[in-house]
Amino acid sequence: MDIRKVKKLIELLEESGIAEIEIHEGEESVRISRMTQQTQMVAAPATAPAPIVAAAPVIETAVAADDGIPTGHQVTSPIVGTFYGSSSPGSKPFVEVGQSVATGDTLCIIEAMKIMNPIEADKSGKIKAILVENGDPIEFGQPLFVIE
Amino acid sequence: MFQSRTDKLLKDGKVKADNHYSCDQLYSEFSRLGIPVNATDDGVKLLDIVDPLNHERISSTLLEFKRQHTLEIHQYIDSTNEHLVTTFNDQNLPAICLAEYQLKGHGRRGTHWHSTYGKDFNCSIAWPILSGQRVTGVMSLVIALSLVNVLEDLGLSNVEVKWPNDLFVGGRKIAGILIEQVFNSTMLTLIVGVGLNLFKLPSRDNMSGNREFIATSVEEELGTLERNMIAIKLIDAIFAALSEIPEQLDTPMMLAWKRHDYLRDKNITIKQKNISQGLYQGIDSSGHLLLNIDGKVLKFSSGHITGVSK
Repeated sequence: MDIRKVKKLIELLEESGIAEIEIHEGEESVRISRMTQQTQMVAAPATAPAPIVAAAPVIETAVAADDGIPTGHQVTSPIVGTFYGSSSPGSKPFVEVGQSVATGDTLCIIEAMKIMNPIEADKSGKIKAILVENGDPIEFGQPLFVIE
Repeated sequence: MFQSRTDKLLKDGKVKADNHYSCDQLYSEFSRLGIPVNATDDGVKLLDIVDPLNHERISSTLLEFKRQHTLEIHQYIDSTNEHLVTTFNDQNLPAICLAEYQLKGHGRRGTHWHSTYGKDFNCSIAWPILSGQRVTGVMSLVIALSLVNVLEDLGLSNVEVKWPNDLFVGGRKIAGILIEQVFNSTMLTLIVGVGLNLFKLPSRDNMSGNREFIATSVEEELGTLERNMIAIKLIDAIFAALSEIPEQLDTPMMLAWKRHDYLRDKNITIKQKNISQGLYQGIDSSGHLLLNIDGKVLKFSSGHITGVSK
């Protein structure tokens, strides 16, 4: 896993109230937890480096939600940008609450500097919640959808 | 509907007047759509393109430059970007799609990009992204700067980029860029679309798709131009830009940006969900726009700039 990404995750963790975060990407995973004042990083058992399609990896978080976000699998934004729920203004949203999605389905677009980044479902299931609105500015790691 | 007449004109080269559209009406309607026609006795005829895009010339020169590619040139197409998004495959990359006319050319978020038959450069390139490479918004700025170089090489001066990637000459828009990403299970492909105004057109001033700005063209700035040569230079520059996918702007690029920064020292209004106003303070190395609002500097990664003033 890219060390810069790990660094960003640590910063994200430090800024948030989250105690621990575990990320899986292909065969690699990393768990970062906050213990007292220190940030401890626990690397997953070493595996052969897996090829990562790293353009916009969807980061999987599994945190107990006490911030009003419904429980379930969260899809978070891999980049900073603007959230768009449909391919163009006026067209049908990619997904709606209650809709079933399969892994790989496009859920939304995050635009940064006019580059359109489609965000795909990294888990199949039903869309339980859409946490942001069309046109919202999105931060790195911000939860976008809950899938159950 | 007029669409069927447009299709017929582009396919057959002529359309006859009928009860719904007289010769004059056909002439003005096609002119409005950016399709140059001549009136005939019973309708209108499509004008021949001067210096049409030449597959053999463009392709062989790119190969001389060691730019392996596949190339399609269409007389007309809905949108070069959309065409590549739906038709590219792993075997034919990098793929180039050129068109003399786009029926449904578009910019960011579906905004219309006005095209004129045989008078513009409409180009999209599908480029394979290697495993492990990450494409960030920086590529928007990198590609814009590479087009600035080409226009300067051609002899244009005062070429500027309006964050993140619209090109202006003397304050008038000359080119736009649209970058899309397509994922499939095994790979990521970048689709880079470029629209460049080549010839002067009276219709362009009020039909550029962006009514706040008046457009210009290479012809207006230079007097003469050679379409195929420009096509080759632009494609070569985009290929060169894509052969490295930086995540940060390096010092030469930051300096180049400063030299060509359309928004430098301007007060701007930027619309995201909310509207923000402030003094533009350049960009950071990730390509984010920096805006000073009452002494506090905010970073923007996206947003539409709706107002610019000194």
